[in-house]
Amino acid sequence: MTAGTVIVAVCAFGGLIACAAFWWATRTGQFSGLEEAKYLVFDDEDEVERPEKAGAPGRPDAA
Amino acid sequence: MTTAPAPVIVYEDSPPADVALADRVAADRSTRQPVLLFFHSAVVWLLVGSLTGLLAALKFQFPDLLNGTAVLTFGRLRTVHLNAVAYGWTSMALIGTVVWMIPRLVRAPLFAPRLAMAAAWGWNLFMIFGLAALFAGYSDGLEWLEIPRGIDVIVAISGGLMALSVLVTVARRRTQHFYVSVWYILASMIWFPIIFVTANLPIFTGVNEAAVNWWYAHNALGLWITPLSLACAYYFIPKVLGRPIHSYSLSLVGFWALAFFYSLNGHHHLVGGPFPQWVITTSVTASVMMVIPVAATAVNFHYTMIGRFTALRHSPTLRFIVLGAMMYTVVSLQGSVEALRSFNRMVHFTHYTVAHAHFGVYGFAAFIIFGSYYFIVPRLVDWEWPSGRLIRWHFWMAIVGLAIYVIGLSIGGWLQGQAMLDASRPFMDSVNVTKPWLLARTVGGTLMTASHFVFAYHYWLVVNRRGARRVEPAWSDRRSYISMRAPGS
Repeated sequence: MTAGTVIVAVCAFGGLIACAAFWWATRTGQFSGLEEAKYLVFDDEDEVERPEKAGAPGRPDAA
Repeated sequence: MTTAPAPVIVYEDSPPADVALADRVAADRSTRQPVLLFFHSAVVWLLVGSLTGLLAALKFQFPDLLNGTAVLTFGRLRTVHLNAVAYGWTSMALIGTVVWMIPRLVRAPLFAPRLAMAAAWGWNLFMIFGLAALFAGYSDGLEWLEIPRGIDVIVAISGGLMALSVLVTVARRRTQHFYVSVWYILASMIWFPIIFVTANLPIFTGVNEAAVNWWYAHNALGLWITPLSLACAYYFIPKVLGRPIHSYSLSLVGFWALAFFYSLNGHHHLVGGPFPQWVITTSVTASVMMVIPVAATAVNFHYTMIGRFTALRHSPTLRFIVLGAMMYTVVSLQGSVEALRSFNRMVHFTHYTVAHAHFGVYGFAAFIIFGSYYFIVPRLVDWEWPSGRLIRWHFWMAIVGLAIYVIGLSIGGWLQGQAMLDASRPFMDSVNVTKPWLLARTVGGTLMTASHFVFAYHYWLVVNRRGARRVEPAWSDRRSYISMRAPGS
């Protein structure tokens, strides 16, 4: 097995993983409801204000 | 007349507060031991890496310093320095941070914490054997891949165990969405094993070996250290500010653009080498295209920070991480320019590249790691950092040392390149012209090393719960903290 064959195989494998991840992400709604997703980081806290509805522009103090 | 009730807002991923708190407690309990082991180890390797780096730098002023034994010659010290900071400090600290973040982000306890503990011990074993081999003169002779292949097997297994623990934890998540940090972490957990194992296959020879070497070396930075560091920044900046990231969509654009462009970057290190031009051109193009994810990330962080920059005065976490993110922007744009043939011709094989590498791995990644430590460690040991003064000393010595180092070596490298390209000048001109700038390297390195000892001492204090118990963080400027919290500030 030549070096080139290995590299092409590895690249193809990596590309397949990326395509599969992208396809999975679109199928499972990872790219929808993005305004909600950015609040995930605060799920373990209770003092953070959230927008009144999904898609609203964020906290009142946002620039 | 009745008033309509306020609409009930339901976020599918947001649990009730008591459930969220219980999840966090369970998550933190599951990660405490492995994270501490990774963090302790990383600090030790930071000191080893700093001392070997400093000693190597001193040899530019005192070439005969400690040259009585082969173990302490420049070639070995420099190699040990690189491997200690890249795989020992940076990698272990980032893994520890990731292990702490992931269960919180997916609201599930870490899967098999003992697996993570085994991974941490295995990684340390790899470091001990690997650095001992390098000190003894056994090296594979490839940049970033110097540790002999037989020893690499240990880290491949350890990394596999760690990735398994993280991936299964994510598979057991109780959230539907992945926060952007999770995207970066998952990707790096898949990317790094692929590039590491491939680059270590003993089937590449000659120019193929050089091509694979630089494909790996640059991707170790771009597909391992960079995504993990960005994952930390995307977690801690909003967390400390109490304000979400400005544009979540933009953060995903940054992630996918990095995934698409970065893996092709490495071959710009081979400009001028015996390679097909299309390989180099593809790499240069990809390097320039990195402007897209970098700009997306920079704009996002900047707009998240706007109106809150005063917070940098009181929060050590924010201070280190925001500066690290800023340096990511600058060093990445510098890297895109450096890949261009015309620019590369001047700085290739000069100290300019060394400055650039330190700007990236230290200014960007290490600063973000320091900030992460300042946030995580008090939560692990239930004890605040005892001294605001030590934090300030750490910060200022690190940033001033880095500035002296990077500016000095960049100027010296540029002058060195000019001298090397001028056929009318003797080669020794290109050596002599760097002398004052190599002194700047040593001065900067000394300051950075000193800052690491301050940090390590402070870390030892906090994990051993020394000093008076604090009920609030050891803010460097408490008044600015209070004013920062005031409305309209």
